Amino acid sequence: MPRVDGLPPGTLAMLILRVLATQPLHGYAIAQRIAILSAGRLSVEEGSLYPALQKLLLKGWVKASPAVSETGRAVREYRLTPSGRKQLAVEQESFRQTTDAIVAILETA
Amino acid sequence: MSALDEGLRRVWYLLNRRRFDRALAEEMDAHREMMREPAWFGNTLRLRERSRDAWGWVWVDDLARDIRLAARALRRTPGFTIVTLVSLVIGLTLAASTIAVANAYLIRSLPYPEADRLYHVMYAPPGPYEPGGMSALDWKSVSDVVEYPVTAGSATVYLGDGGPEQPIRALQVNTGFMQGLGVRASLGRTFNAEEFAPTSDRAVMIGDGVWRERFGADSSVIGRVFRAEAGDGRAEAQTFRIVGVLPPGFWFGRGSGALVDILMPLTEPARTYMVRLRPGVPVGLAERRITDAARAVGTSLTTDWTGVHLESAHERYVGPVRPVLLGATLVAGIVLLIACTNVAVLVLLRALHRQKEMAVRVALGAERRHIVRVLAAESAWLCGGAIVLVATLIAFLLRPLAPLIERQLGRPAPGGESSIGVDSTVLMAMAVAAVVIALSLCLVPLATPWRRHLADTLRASGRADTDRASMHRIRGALVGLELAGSLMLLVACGMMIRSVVQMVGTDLGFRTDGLARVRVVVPARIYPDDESRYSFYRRVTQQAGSLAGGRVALTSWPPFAESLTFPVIDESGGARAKAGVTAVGPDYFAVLRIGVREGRVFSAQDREGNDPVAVISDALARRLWPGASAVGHRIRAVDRVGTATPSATWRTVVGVVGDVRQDYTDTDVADVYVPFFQVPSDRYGNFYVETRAPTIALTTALRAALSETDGQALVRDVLRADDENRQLLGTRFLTALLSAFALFAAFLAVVGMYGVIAYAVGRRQREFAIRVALGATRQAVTSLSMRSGGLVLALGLAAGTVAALGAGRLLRSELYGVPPVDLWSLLGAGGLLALAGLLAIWLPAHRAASVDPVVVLREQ
Repeated sequence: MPRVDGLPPGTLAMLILRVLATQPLHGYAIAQRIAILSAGRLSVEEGSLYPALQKLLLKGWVKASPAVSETGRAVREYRLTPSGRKQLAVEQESFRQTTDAIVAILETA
Repeated sequence: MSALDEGLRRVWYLLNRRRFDRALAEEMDAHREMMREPAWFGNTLRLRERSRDAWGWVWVDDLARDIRLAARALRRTPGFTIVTLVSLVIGLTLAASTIAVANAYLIRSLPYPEADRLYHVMYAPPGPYEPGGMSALDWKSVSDVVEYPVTAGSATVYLGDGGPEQPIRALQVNTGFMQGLGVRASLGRTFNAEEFAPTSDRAVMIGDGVWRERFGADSSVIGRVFRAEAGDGRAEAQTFRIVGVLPPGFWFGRGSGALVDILMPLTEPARTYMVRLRPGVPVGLAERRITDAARAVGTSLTTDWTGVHLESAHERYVGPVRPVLLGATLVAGIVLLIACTNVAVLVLLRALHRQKEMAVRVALGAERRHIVRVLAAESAWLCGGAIVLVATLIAFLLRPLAPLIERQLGRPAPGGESSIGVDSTVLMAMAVAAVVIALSLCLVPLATPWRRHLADTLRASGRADTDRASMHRIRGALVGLELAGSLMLLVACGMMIRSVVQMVGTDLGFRTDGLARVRVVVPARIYPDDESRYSFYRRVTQQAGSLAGGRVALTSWPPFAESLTFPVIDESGGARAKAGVTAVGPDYFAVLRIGVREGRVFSAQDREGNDPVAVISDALARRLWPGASAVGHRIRAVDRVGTATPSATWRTVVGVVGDVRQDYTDTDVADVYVPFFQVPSDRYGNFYVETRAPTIALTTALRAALSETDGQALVRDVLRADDENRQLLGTRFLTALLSAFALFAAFLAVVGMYGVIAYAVGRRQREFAIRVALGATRQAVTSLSMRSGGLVLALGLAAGTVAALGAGRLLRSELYGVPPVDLWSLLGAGGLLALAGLLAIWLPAHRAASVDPVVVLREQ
């Protein structure tokens, strides 16, 4: 299966928010969830999660709390805040509109 | 709200960023461990960096690094750092202290609320004679333009009911004074309306000084009643009731800045010399309205009366010192400019030295903005350090200097002594100067060709003179500018020094050294007539003479005061002339060393009841009786200046004395002297004592001695006659100021010159070595490197000469006996600077030529 390289800018943050919407996760788990949910078709440099997470922390959309990974390492667990939930709704809506418009153009033109 | 939260999270990150960073690194490590193919994680270092970037604090780390780098670079070149700092500190200190003084006088207002609406009223400018009847002026009729007439009359009050008490200064004021100047009480209250009625017992407010010295700062003083008499002589002892204490430092008066001891309500009409205009009233309109009101009550209005004029109270106070202050500020500005130019030269040379370092940085990928940032950090260190040092220096310097400066300027600063200091205006000016200097300094190195010839620079590494011609020109122009500026200051300084020498060498016709002037006042009630006053003056002069151990000279008109002239009539021939008239005691001519040309001077026998006599000055004698002896002629002039009822007596001329000039610009040397004890005397006495003792001791001793015989006589602070030569003192002050400034500027210019030449010959060391090795004489090599320096020196001096001619024109009013284009000052200053400059060129050139060529060629 061909791998799609890279993501449209800004979508990684939305994906993180979406994945965290169901349950709090740490970094590796977030990457796993994204890979599983996209059936392996979406792949990014997993490390680029972290700069994106910093942005979400700064905006106050996610909160971090200390946790322990499955391998016993100290990691941080990220959970969605109420304002993060609102932001997710906003981003999903605007993403849907944009993709609908793009799809419409691609199919008719 | 969310923006605020975001900001708070940013700050929280900044404060915990080390911990945060570590946690992130661990987290990433854990992530990689769990991955099957850790390579897909990405570049950990770059990801960490990008994570840090997300918080927006990268610039802080960059800044901290630049500042550290800059500090290290400055530490590596201590010579440069110290010379630059010293230049900046001295230049800025001079500029900031003159600005502080100018600010205290010219910008800060008089110590009254909304003082900009206070105006001085001149009833008849510019002549001295005012129309009569002005005290009846109806200020209510102009109340639409004048908010308050501020009226004050001075009076002397003798505290206590008889007994030996020194009188104190009192001011009788109207309600307009209280409201117009916003007078407040620091204790008790101000006057109420009834207290201005003539019938009531007299309420007074006492000054802070009186309250502390005479009432022991007792807060129960309010309501206390004391007996005292007003010094006008007519009044008997009255009862005064203290209603309030004035705030510390409350003063009123032009120039004198005298603190007010006692304030009492004015009960009689008096002439008003100050008004507070209503807000927004144009001065011209107020002048017209007051002129109309004055015309209605004026009694002796002449046809050419030009009406009432208003002058801003602040302007009237600081007007006389404005030229000096502006001049000093201008000079300080020039010195600062020279200091900055010098620093710019040093920075430029440093940049040239660092060309290779810069080239390496660029080759390693530094962008222009990175390099500018490090340079900016360097100049920020220098200027910031300089400002901190300057602020500390000024704070320590101005405190002891403030009283000296106030004495030199002849009047306290409007806001009081403490107002000469660093306030927000001064700080602002200093900050602006520092920022401008810092910015221009970090731009200087960019003028060097650090980018364009990257490869050349790296390759050349000091083997040949790689400087472009433009570099030579910039360096030369900067140093030339310094030389020109300092030559201008040196010439101005030379002209001032020559003025002082001329003044000191000028014989005014009398001496002041070793003399003290005593001023006494007696109440008219106790000394009502000439007889009682004559005996008082005989007593006081005899006592002062024995206390001081010298002779005493009574006089009605002191030197250094502008004198009025009066007609003198010759009885026989009807010859007429105008002359100053002075009543003097027996030893006057001996004490002031005024030479006797003909006949005799006064003796103790020339007293009341004996033949009326006069002594005249040489100039007057020649004018009245050219070519003939003056002795024996009879003349008549007004007997005594300033008395209420002028009288004139025919007097026989018994002697002729040398001409006396009142001051350095006085050309009118015709004078008549009359015996002190043959003319009406008044309450104000004035005499010179020969003494070298401290004046304070004489003041105290005389007061103590008089308290036994004449308890109610007032002895003012004794003055040293030398201190009254304000013209000479003022010129000396200006000269000292200018000398300090000029020498500092010249020193900087010479240092700059030396630095430039030393650098230039350093670059050509290898070339010189080859020349010497090929047979050039050392002289030839020395003169080779001196040639370009000589050109800069010559051009700088030429430009400085032109500037000096302009400066002479500006200085004209301050010069005495020196033309505005003074060849001697020009030659002297130019020669001095040329010599110092040549030495600064020759030293490095000679050193470069004396180095062994073998050593140079092997080393490079």
